[in-house]
Amino acid sequence: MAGTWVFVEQRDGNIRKVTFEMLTEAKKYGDEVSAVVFGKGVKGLAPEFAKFGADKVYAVEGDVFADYNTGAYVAQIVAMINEFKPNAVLFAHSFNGRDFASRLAQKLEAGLATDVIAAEISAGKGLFTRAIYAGKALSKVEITTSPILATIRPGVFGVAESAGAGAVVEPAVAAGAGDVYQIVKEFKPTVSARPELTEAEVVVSGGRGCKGPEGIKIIEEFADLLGAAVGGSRASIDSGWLGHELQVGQTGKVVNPNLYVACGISGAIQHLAGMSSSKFIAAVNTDTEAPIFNVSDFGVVGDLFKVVPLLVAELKK
Amino acid sequence: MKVIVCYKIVPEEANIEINQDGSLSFANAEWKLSQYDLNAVEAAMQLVEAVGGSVTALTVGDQKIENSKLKKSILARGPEDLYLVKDERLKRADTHLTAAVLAAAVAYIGFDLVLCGEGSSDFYAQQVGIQLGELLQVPVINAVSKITPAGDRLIIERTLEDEIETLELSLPAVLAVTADINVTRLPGMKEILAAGKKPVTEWDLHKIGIRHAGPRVEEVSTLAPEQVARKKILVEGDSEPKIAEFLDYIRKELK
Ligand SMILES: Cc1cc2nc3c(=O)[nH]c(=O)nc-3n(C[C@H](O)[C@H](O)[C@H](O)COP(=O)(O)OP(=O)(O)OC[C@H]3O[C@@H](n4cnc5c(N)ncnc54)[C@H](O)[C@@H]3O)c2cc1C
Repeated sequence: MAGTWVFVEQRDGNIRKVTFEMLTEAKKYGDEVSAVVFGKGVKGLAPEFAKFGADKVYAVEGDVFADYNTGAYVAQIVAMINEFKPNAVLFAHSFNGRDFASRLAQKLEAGLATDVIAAEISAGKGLFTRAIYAGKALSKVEITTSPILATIRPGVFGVAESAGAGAVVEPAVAAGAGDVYQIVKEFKPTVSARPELTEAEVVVSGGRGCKGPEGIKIIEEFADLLGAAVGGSRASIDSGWLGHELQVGQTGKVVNPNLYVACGISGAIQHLAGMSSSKFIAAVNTDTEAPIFNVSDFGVVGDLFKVVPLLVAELKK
Repeated sequence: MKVIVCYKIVPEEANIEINQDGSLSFANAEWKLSQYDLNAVEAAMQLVEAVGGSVTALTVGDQKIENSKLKKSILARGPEDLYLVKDERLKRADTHLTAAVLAAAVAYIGFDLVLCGEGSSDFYAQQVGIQLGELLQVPVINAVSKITPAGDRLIIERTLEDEIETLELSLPAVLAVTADINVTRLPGMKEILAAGKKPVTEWDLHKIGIRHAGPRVEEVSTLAPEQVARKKILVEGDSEPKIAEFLDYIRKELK
């Protein structure tokens, strides 16, 4: 049983922060920690993982791994798991991470805990906490199948540097890695210059209370002054004021910033499921009774069309 | 195109109450169709309306799946028939068992495409659709936000963290669709009445050849989370001192 593997979440060499969060967490288990990275030209990333304590870096290079594809990725990692026998493998709870981990778990007939917010891993045993019923309850689950598999919610675990050897291992490309059944046609970036929601330190969100694109513009100006990501409730997304990738909540993204500012958002349970673990929550809402105030540290009962421009004016000073 | 849509019966999470000891009370939480699966039903209907074919609904679980209101409710949304795999051993089925039962059932029914919701609104593990695809050894992908038929292939859009991926899959396939792939339609009186006359087939685990029904993930405990202590400062209006106070807090959190 050779240690904990962290599957690296990256694209074109841009490593997502959750990778470092997982490495930092894995260090706590006291076992060997390895980063596993698939892609093209990824070997050179090894020092990045060593900085966060990776003892080893399993780098798999090849055109077929350039973009995520379930068939080839699963075939490759299954071969590696059979050869190197890790005790546990952690994935990011991203869209691709959960796609990958789920198919792998089925192939290995192993248990998998998804969207994990707390973890304890020892030899042959994983104890994981995850939110259920739209965040109303926390469920603790135990996995004793091998290897222990989990997807980790971004933004929950801290990041701390610690030097690791980062020794590069280049496993053979598995026979089944030609198993490509999805042909990627294109990637259209949806991000603006703003930080990505799940990685942002500050998130400003707008809801139905923004009343339209004009209201959203006010929120965006405020967000930009704070260097924040912009998010929205289902209501503002469904109204077409913001892109789908910006929805915060159970069916959108789960965010975990230092500061979350909810503007014109009532605080429905599905929205809370996506932001209630933020460190400091502020809300602007005209309704004293809005449920968002029950989870807020600081709330302003007021009209966002007045309050937010005043904040903007002050920040510009 | 023969499409099967999988759905789950879940408790209404808004009505789950928290007992003094942190345990959950389901006394007022009636059973409902998992919201996200309704998007899968809608996606199936739109596909079949575009290219022809049929939509079949399928659910697996314990006796609660027989609730006649719920059966009508799913059929009223368009599927022409319904299959239930009912077995008491499925009461707390984990994702592996659920996927195994679904796989056996869809193999019996026959399909070109299976659609699932991205996750169930109770546990939201987001695994079942993918695991079903693996068991069937067909192409499978999650986070599907748009489906466009193209002959015997599908053009799929996935809304990822910070990009939209477009890809092509061959049929047969399994897709897990997101909640924002479409707006679900509300069935009218006519559809609800017609739903009562649609064929329903009931199987048990034995019938579809499943013997072993053990979990891979053991539940240790389920409790309400400790409430994060919030400051709950509430100010009214937009006077200068209040805005200044708000900014003080914001600046503190920025550093
Ligand atoms: C299956 C399912 C999944 C869902 N998933 C999500 C999800 O992931 N994310 C999500 O957000 N929602 C989700 N929802 C929807 C959720 O239930 C709510 O409907 C939604 O969050 C409401 O958005 P809102 O707060 O912007 O709108 P509303 O609930 O309409 O609230 C608008 C708020 O704005 C305030 N307001 C109005 N005018 C002003 C003003 N001038 N200044 C300040 N405040 C003002 C009002 O007082 C009100 O509180 C989901 C629902 C379902 C059924």
